[in-house]
Amino acid sequence: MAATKKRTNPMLAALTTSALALPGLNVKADSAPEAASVGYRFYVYQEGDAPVDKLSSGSPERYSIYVNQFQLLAPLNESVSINFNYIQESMSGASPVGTEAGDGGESQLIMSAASIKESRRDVSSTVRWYAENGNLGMSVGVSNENDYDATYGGIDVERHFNKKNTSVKLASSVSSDTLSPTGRVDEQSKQFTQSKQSVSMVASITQLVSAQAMLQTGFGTTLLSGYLTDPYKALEGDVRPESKNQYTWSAGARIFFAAQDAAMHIGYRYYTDDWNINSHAVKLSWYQNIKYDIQLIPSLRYYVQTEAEFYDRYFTTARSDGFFSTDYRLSSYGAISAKLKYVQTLKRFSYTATIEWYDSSASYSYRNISFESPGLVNYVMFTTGLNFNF
Amino acid sequence: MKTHSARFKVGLILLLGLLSGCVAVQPWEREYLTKPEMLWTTDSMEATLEEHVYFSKEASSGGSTSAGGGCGCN
Repeated sequence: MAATKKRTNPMLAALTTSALALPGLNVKADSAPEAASVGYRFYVYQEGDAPVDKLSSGSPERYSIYVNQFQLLAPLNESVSINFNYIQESMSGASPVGTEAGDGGESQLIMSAASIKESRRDVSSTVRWYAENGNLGMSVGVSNENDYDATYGGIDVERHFNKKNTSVKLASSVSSDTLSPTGRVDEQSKQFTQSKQSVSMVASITQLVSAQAMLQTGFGTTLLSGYLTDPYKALEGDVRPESKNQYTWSAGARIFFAAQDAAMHIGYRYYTDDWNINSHAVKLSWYQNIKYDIQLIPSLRYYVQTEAEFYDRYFTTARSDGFFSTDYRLSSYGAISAKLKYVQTLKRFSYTATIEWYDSSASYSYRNISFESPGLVNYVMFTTGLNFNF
Repeated sequence: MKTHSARFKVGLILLLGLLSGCVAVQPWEREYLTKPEMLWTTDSMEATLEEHVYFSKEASSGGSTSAGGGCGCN
């Protein structure tokens, strides 16, 4: 066969080369980030006070939390990266213990004393290997509080198909937790200690649908076992099953609007479990690029859940299965969250500031809820932080 | 049970066939798709904290591919 020499259009060759040089466009292989980066965030989380007119006992001053968060991401070579994460939280304030019947039959809120002071430290690391058509990550972490310890780990693998138009991701994680509530002793007058475990699996698929849009959908399950009762609420009456099977279906879209130089994020998650809780969560974000490397990101999230089958605002007779709880988190309600984020990039630095308002209420549910838990939370969270790319 | 398994396999084959039949977006057409604001997680630090807050205040959680431990959050 005679060798033939193809003529190459220099302009086309230059355009193709420059296109392939764009991040993420390399169809040859996934690869580690080219340079290391560090990030820091400081969060101030403040819950609104409990309603005094519905307070049975305890302090109305709910939680204030300050959080420091650090992250380091570094390439070890072209095909391996590692990241470290550190979170330190300082908490103070009172929290809802449960609800009970008031004189008129209405539910009254039992709060803890305001003297709760706690801290939590969470350290985790992920190593990621990048290959011809995908990547694999392995992570481990520990979370410590004076009354709660968790050790967790996970593995995830992503594979691209169809010239990277389609990606499939599988992830699995486990956690082993130990509870040792302050001031609570067992029958031998030793520290009351319990444990619980969880195993999670998620499978998702991502598909490019046009030059400006992509879709993702996934299924997940988490199986929890062990002591799932809240050890502090148990003192006022709270007994939950020792297993919980959770299932989720999620879907999302990313759409770029070239004329506006903006991206829209849409996300939805349906949740159901064998405690009879169902929920829907919808989130919409708009990433607006503005001059001078500024980005403004308004987001809205709507959440609604049904109550657990063993939840009630108070109990006058025991349930036949022996389970009961007045925890507001297991009640029926809806929640609305609004967030505004500002990002400014200056060469290798980027500065970020975020404010989020979160409000929950029975009236936000699309269902007709007869009795709202007086323990429902609302909060404001401020975030500020820096990222630096080496 | 066999019927369910066969249906699942047929469904999977149809789904993969459908996806492979989607309009292929060529590498040089992905300028917008590769912008940082088009990532599924644009800020992994804030996403971790946000997930933790919702996990501790709401009854439902999950759907994320990242590992994490529980907490004694009240």
